[in-house]
Amino acid sequence: MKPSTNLGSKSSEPPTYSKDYWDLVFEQLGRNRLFKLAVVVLTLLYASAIYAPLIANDRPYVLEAANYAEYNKALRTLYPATLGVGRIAKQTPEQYLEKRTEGSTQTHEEALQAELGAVRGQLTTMKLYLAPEKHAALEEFDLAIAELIELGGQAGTEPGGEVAELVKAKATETKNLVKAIRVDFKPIDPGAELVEGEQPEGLILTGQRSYPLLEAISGWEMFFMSLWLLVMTWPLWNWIWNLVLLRGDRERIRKNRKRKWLLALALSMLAGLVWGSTLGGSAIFNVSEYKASLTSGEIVETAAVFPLVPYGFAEGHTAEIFRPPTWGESSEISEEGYYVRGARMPEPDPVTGFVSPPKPVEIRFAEPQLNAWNRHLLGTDSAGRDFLVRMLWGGRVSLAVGLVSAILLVIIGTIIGSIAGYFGGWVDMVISRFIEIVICIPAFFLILMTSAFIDPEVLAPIFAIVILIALIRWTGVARLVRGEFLRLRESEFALAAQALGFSSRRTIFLHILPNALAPVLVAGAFAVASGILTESTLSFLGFGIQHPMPSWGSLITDSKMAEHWWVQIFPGVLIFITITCYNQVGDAFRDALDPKAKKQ
Amino acid sequence: MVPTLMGIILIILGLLHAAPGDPAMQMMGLGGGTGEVSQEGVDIEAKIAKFKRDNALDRNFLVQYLGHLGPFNVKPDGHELFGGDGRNPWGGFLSFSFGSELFNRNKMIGAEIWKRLKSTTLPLAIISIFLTYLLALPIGIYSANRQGTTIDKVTTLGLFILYSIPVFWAALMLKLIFGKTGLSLLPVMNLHSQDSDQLGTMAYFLDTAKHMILPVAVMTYGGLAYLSRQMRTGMIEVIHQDYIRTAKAKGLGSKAIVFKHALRNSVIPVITIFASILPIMIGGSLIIEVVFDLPGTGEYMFKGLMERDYNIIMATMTLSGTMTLVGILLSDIAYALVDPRITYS
Repeated sequence: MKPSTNLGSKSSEPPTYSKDYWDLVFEQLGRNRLFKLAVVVLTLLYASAIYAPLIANDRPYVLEAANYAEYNKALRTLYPATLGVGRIAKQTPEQYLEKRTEGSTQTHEEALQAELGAVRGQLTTMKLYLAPEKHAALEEFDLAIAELIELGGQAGTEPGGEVAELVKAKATETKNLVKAIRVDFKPIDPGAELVEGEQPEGLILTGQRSYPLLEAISGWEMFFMSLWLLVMTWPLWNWIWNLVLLRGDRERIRKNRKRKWLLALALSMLAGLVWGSTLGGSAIFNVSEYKASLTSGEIVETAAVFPLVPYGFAEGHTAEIFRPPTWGESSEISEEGYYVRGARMPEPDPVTGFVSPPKPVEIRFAEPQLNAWNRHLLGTDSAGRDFLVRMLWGGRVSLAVGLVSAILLVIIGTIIGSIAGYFGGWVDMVISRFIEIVICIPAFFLILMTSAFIDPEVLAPIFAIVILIALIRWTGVARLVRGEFLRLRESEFALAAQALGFSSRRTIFLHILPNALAPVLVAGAFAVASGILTESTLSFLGFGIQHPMPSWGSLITDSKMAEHWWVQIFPGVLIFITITCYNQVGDAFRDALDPKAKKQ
Repeated sequence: MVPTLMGIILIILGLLHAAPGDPAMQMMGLGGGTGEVSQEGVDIEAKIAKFKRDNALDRNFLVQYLGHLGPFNVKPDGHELFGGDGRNPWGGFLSFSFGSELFNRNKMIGAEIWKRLKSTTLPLAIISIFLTYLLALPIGIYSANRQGTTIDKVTTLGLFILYSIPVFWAALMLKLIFGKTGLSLLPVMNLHSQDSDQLGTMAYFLDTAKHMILPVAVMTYGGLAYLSRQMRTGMIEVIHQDYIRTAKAKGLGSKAIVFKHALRNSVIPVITIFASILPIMIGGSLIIEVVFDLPGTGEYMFKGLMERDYNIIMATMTLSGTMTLVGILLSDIAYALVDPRITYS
């Protein structure tokens, strides 16, 4: 295809723009409105999966908060720590060794250093939450403690002498200093009610700024996020590139096609690498604990920016199990924790009149109010986890399984099919027989059977499903490629490649394969759809992705009861939309690639 | 056909062997305790060894393969050639025997499959194949003859959407809509009501028909959508042929053109699809049978998977593989019958 167009344009006329194969394909696709719609929907679906951590997360983007509990603890322990330093400093090493607790192997010197470390640790914590002008008093105290310890180290030389007196004086001094600090540096009680016109007693701590959400994003996620950003803005920068850089020169635009994709890939890879090696994936802190202290007021925030949906994908509310979508009437819960309407209203026992005690709903920090319409937009699941969040995060698994399995099976099928088609003879016969046998066994059963026997501890179900789909479903692509190769093997350009003495590998992969890829592209689009369908069906039957990891199929299995309709409807709608879009893309590709179909 | 069948059995057995999980251990797990709780006087090891010997699980792969393929029985009571005592010499797939369930030796798999086929799977399959062809051909022809009109576009899009609906979800949604919590129109579980034994013939028939509506609908819609699309494509292809133009030119009515000249030629690709529909109807109703709780072969296979009963899995998988083979054979024959240009030497 390519050689003929190039020759045609070069021979007679001046080099005007001639459309090559892919130009025609894109032109054809551009006319298909449904195809464009499907591509847009798929792009948005993938965006929702890739950016799920930015949309739904229990970590805040920015958090500026003062941890009063931590500060108070530091302040409290400062006093006994100081007394401890004084006590040990007064002792001579011999006395210390006599009195030291059993099991301790520290020498006098080491004990002093350890105490100093403890005191300094508390001081650092306190300084963290104090304005710089307040640091002076603490530094003075720090200095005094250091001096005390230095003196304490010398005290051993002369018991009861001059140094010992000095130590005693210094110990008293530090004790007084720490007493003053305890009074002066007492913070306000963040939990106390504010009284109008009255200044609360104590210090107001300055908050520490942190970025918990961004720190939790790994380099991989960053790679996909930046790649998708480039993909989504492609119409814009492609337009600018073509118009400004290439001045609309069609030949150059065609040559730049590959360069653009490589640049986008390289840029996002760079972003992922830089992010992964510097910022990302570093923070390991217990989010639920953190959120609990924010809720209870132990930590007071001065500024906090949460994502749109402030729930984690595994964060449960035990009092809100299977709560219907909160925009519906049946989801209303009274202050006491009872459902107000519908089938889930508490029913008193007919004999005793006993009503089971309610479970009060816990409203955590930054969460919408109890009966706000957006508290749980799509309801909750069997553990009281927000269903919208589960669906967003579940899309990552479902979409990834579909795409990766399709890529793998296309690779396997292409390699085996091209070997069979190129070499022919007994190689072809063996491979064809094998394909014939595999095709006879219904693929879904084979996948179901093998996945039922794979231990989820040995191989995570997500990988098992991807590998199984690829290993069992490659036969269709292999047959396609084999057919194309049988056709192309005798064509002039393949014969020319052979006559030039190219190796089989070079002839296959550089000359024949690129011309045989069009039907593979179509099969690939359908393979993604069938991969997503297979994964969701497996998960639905209970052999796929296991809880708590969400996938669209496994979300549906959460409840088989008809009254939990939201559990069954919403993930299914997403599966359905995705499959429809991929089928549409496959159909459109087939129509665009096949010149015969165009006429009809 | 037989070599392909041998290959099918080899692949299934090979996968079963490669997969982790030992049926003997499974039996002990079912027998209570995980091997630690040993009853007095009964040695667990000996029990496992006996179980393996009885089911020929201690034989090497090749002998086990022969046992599944047939026609020799390789178990201790099997053919003398394989060290058996000759009480029960024949077995395996080639002698049309599937043996008994692994964990329930009194239950013969062959009889069970036949019972399930007869009572559930075959009626459902026959009705839905019939319905599929009955509806799909007219829709396809109608749509093709009005190519490019709004009706055609709407039909095509509708069929396309129908084709993309996941089977299990469609079943769930129908249950949700027609079940007790929705419109409360149709029964959503099982094939008969619980008191169906006391009903008269007519009432029994009506009851069964009511129970069948939803499963048949779910089994039909996918094939219907696919087949209609194929029919439409085939018809359009034929309509553009020269001989149709000739027929039009000589003034034939459109009915005569469509039904006499176009239909016979466009039906050829639709027949091949029968090969892929047949096995799906026999075994592929697994999801539908599980969702609607129907006692069919698909549900039997699911039961085998849940219990790790190798014999059930082997039998049902081999059967659906064979059905595919039969389907391919049948469509080849039908192909030759419809299209005289094709001959098989």
